[in-house]
Amino acid sequence: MSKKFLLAVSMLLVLSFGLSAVVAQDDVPRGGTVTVSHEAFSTVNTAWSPFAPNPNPGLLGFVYEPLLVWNEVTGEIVPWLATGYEYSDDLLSVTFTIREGVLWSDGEPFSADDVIFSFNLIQEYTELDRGGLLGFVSGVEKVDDTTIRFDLSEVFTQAHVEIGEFRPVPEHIWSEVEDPVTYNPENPVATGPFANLCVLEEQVFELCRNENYWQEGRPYVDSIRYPAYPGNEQSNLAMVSGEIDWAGHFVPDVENTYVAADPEHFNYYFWPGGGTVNLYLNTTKEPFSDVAFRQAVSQLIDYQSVVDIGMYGYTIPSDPTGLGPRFASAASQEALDTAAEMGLGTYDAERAAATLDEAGYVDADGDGWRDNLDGSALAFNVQVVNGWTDWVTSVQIITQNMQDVGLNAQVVTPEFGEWLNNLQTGDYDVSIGWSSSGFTPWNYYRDIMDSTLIGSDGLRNATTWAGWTSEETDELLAAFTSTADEAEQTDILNQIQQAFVENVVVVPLFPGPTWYEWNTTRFTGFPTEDDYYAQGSPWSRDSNSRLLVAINIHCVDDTSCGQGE
Amino acid sequence: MRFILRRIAFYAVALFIAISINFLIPRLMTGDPVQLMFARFQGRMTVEALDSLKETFGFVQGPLLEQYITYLRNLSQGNLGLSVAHFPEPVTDVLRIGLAWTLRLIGLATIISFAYGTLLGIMAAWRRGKFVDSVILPITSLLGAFPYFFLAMLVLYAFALGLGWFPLGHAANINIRQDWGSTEYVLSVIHHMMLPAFTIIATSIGGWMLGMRNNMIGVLAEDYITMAQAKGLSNRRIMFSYAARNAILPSITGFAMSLGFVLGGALLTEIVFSYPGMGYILLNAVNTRDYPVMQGTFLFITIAVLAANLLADIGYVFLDPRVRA
Repeated sequence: MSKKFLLAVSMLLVLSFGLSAVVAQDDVPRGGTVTVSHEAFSTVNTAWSPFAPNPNPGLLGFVYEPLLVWNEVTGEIVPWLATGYEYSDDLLSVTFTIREGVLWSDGEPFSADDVIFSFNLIQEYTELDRGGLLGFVSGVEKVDDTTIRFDLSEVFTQAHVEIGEFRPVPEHIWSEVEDPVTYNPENPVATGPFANLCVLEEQVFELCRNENYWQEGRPYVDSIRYPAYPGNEQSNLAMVSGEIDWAGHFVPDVENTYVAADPEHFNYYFWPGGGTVNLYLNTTKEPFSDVAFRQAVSQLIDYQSVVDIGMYGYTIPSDPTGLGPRFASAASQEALDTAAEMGLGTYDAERAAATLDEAGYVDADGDGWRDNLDGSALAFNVQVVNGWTDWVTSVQIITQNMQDVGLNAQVVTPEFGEWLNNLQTGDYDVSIGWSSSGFTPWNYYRDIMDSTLIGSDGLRNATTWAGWTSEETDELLAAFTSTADEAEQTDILNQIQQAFVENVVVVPLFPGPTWYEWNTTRFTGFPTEDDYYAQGSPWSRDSNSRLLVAINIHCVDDTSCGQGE
Repeated sequence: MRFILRRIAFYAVALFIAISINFLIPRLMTGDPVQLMFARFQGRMTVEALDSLKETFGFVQGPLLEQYITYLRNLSQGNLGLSVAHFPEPVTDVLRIGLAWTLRLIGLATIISFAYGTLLGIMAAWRRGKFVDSVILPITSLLGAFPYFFLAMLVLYAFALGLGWFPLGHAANINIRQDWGSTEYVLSVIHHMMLPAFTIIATSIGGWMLGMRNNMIGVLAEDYITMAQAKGLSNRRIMFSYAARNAILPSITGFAMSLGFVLGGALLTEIVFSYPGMGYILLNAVNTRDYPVMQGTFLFITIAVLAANLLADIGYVFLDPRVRA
């Protein structure tokens, strides 16, 4: 097998991909303003730099585009400002081909020099390195006018994904900037389909179409508009009143509270492809350090009730590998078999009780609760973020399940900052928590188990909150990104899953639903459950896949969205 | 005069202590702004990006003493620093919009509530057991006892969603360009302000009224009131110049305090009516451990409370001759 991956997808393919849900391009009605809401805000966030740690909610993707977009749903890499990439034979460099004919929104041509300039910028001002590229990229070299080579400091075969997420800035603007770290452009110049900030008020902003956009005829709509809604009640009210066309909000009992208001036009689809929500057990503490105890926890949870009651039926129980439907094809059969044998991820209170009895967690003092192996009282807390009602309900069910088998568990609801701090410092017993969702399943496992993510100060970064590590898995995790051979990667991933399942590192509960609602009164072209061509949620993500949706939305017909008024 | 100078010196010391406490309090909370910002992405951001975040926010990560010195130095130059959650925006920019709307809405509502509450209190005490005392007072007290959030939601559903008389939210119609010279915009601002202002007044007026009424009743029992009546002074003169002038003193202090706290915003009002303001900014700052924004907000509140108290002290000098001694 060749170590080269040449991604030679032509421009045509990109366009036809975007068009999958649409008729011939000429017939598409144009114009209209799409009203979007996902993040809660009271006044407009005016951080317009793509390097801002918490930029304006519409900035990334819509305004500043990446080199490559990746599609969570299909697993494909979609060429964007780069038309392709290629690893060298020794895997120590990756060459990107930069798209020709792209213009910045001010009419200046975009070129490989802009990308090189932007990368040099983050090398000079390392605090701008939002994607963490400097960890593995040692330098960038211009090969010719349309090709640039990123040299890697070590073999890292996920480099193309992470470099692909990089969003270049225009050299002709940023080279004049005195301090790029604190620079905040007033009207950002970029390549994106909506790189034209045309309305900026205190409680609303609007991004208008970029007339110089490189994709012929795109976007179809005139602008994307973000009104301020400071809370869920306010955005839900606006959704029900039909004000919002495209939303990414959690809505309780969505069928009755939202869809029922206009069943013909109001739609939702909560694709269960977000990061898996896990139950983390602090494995550096007794009794959670005992695999048998963790195994029993995995057996005692009524997953279906958690999903149906806690999560309003918006998702499904996770499989024991934690991969979820998005990576279902990567799940190792061997690991699944092991899990089935151990009874993981299946609700069986009797079996859980038997597991606990066998391991020695019995009620020694006759107070009705099981005790520690040494006979001391066993009582622990399950923590969940205060106010996150879906998670709180889920944890209440889980705690009830624990009590049912004789474990003295109580729910505690610290505030978000404290909750996170407890997880990171290992000052907790059991906690519900999210996990990473990256381009491959590797991100999920690495962020849970890689010991190098635990800082020298003992801080459990990423989602290494369980505190479970082993040299073997560390090696496996490193090996995965040291090879480009797919068969080898699959083999490594299977071994990682085996270790994950055998040791019950965490207890996967359910894949995170991705909040997404759309209104077809004015616009269409959204991903639907039947034609889910890309993730529909308008949230900004590393993948930048909301771009695929934004350039595809268009008016239902020539009058639906008030064109030409 | 000596009295006022002594008060000013006292306020200067209080200000310095408050500034230092403003610095310390946010940092006593568990949680770290950088980790929280990273966690906000809930696994959608690669962990490698953490290093650059730490570097960016070096200004909230260093040793406490160093941060404190930088903070004092910046403050002496009128510089409140850069926000964490809205980096690279300066704190003054983050607070500017919220401050303006809070002053308009909460400031106005507080003044109206105090003015009418006090007036009604005077009337209730003057004609005890009559309409104002036996009907209006219980109603306003009842409204004041309502949980604010519930009342505000009720009002929003009834008058905005149900009857459609008022907008569902925002400080002005977001389809109109913000322009204080345009009548359309100003009218829209007033229209948007009515419902939130009404809820604030409705829930706070009872307190002013009850306080004033009770003070007034005490004063009305004094001999000099009887004396004034015996002299044949007009009722209006006795009511305002003799009784109310003395009875209002404790209310003035309360009013000064609440004027100072206006700058803290009214979080629930802001959330229910999607109204921009300091409450939401402060909540966000607390959630993200945005120390510079918290410091800035506290600073404004501190200064406002101290200034309002100073004004109340000066007001006392004019209202109450006894203080002048």
